[in-house]
Amino acid sequence: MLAWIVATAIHVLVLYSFYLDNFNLALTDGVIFDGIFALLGLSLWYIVGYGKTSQKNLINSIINQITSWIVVLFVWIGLALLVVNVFSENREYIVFVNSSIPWRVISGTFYYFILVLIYYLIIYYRNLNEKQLNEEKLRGMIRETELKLLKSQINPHFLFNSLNSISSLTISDPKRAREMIIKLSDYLRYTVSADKDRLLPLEKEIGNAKRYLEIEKVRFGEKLQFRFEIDPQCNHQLIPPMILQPLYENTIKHGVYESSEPIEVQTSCTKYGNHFGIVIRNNFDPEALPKKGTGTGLGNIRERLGLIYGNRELLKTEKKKTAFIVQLMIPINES
Amino acid sequence: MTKIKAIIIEDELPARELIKSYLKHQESIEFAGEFGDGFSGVKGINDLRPDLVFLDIQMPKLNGFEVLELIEHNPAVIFTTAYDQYAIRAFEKSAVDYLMKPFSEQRFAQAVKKVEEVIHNKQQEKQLNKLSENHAGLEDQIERVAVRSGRNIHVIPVDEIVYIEAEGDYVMIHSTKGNFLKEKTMKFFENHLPENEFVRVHRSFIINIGFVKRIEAYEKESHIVLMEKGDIIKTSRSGYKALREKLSL
Repeated sequence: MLAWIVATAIHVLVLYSFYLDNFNLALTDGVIFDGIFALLGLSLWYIVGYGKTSQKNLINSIINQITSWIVVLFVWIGLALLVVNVFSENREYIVFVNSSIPWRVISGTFYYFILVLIYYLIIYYRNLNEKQLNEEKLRGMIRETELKLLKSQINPHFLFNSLNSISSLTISDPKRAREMIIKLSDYLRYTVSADKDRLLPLEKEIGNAKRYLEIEKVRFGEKLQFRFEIDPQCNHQLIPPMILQPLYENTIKHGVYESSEPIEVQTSCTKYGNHFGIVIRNNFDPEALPKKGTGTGLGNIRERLGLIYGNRELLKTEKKKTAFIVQLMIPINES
Repeated sequence: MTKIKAIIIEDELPARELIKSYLKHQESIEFAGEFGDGFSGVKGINDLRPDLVFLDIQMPKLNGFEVLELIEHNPAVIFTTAYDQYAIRAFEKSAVDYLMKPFSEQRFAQAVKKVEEVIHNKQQEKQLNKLSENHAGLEDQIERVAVRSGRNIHVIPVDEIVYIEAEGDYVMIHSTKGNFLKEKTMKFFENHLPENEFVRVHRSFIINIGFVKRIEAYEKESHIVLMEKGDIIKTSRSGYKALREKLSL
């Protein structure tokens, strides 16, 4: 608005000093022409704004701009002439206006492009702000997910109970305490450094599972037994890291924790054609009341299998009278 | 001064060993026994009548809070737990102490000192029941109920409860395994039994809709419910309405 008043003032001054001797006339001319252009300028905002959303390519938007430029000039000069011809009784002024049309075309073009430039700058600035805001939001979301992931990876019960066992071992068996600290450290390192998107050889994942079960065995003693039968052909097959961990945690939570009898966890891996199958089987105390899990462990595994292999059904579970069996089929990656 | 008789109820061996080794340095305490699960723990408390119990919360079959519901004798209790946000909130509302695993010997000694003072001042743990109510109150839903009949302990899954009847300060739990008296309020069960399986049909009755056989009109404007096992349950007008809603009739 202020800009328009300034522009009008300049226009009036220029006219007054170079072309017209009558200040009133110069003022009228300025108000008419610049006022009309200001109004047209407002509608231009919509053209530029509309262009923003439908702007498919550069050529299109240039054509749009040229079209609207011609239209704006025609309308502007047409309207101004109409106003002048209808309301002015000063012959001399009308003649002046008619003779100044080429000059008007040039100044109108100048106005037009300045306006469009300003509008584009405003839009660009807004987009930039919006983008920054979105990015900030996205970053926050990523942080939150990572935190959740970390929390879900390291079960606080497991961690604090293990530390308590270590505390106890430092008194009764310092050497075993030291071994357990090393195992726990290796376990935690594998857990926090596992890159979710990169596949790892099965033997690494199995190695981590063994460490986990060995740590738990210190707590549960004879109540926890485990056995691994891995076909050597399976060792180098690739598997998403930490995908087996929730399954072992379930065997502890629903099997060992709820039972007063020994629980055996058996893991086997067999190669079949273009798949390899991992089976984890544990017995459970049929008298123990099934603790209702939240199902997030199995759900997360299915989710990941879906993302990585495009098939959520690679994980199958079966509950027998005294045993719980989980089967995971992993497609063999030829590369 | 007589020594404080203490027992440990804890399912993990290393955790028991740790408490025992800390106890060796506590002159005022006489160690009387250790128990590896909730069932033997309840028996241990009832038989040995200790002054102090170190009680783990997370144990198979019967957790620490359920143990407290079943004992006939009220000892002072020091809870031990690794991680349980509900339990911590429950402890903070009560007079007993708790130890977060792993705990230092100093922290352990401090808890024992607190118990010595409590026992010395004869302000015995009347608050234990309140504590377990608090704890359950923080959980949304219960999955099982621990009951005692004579010297036996039963853990009843909620889906085996047919109906619950008010009986003075107690409630009678009618289950497929038999009837058991429990010191809890109707309000408690109304709030914590799974909402889609149980309805309070009367001031004195909460029924499991899975065991409903038939609903019949009885006198004018009143209804009765026939259960699978042949029990007949009266309904109040609002109770009947709630039942119809739950069965979407």
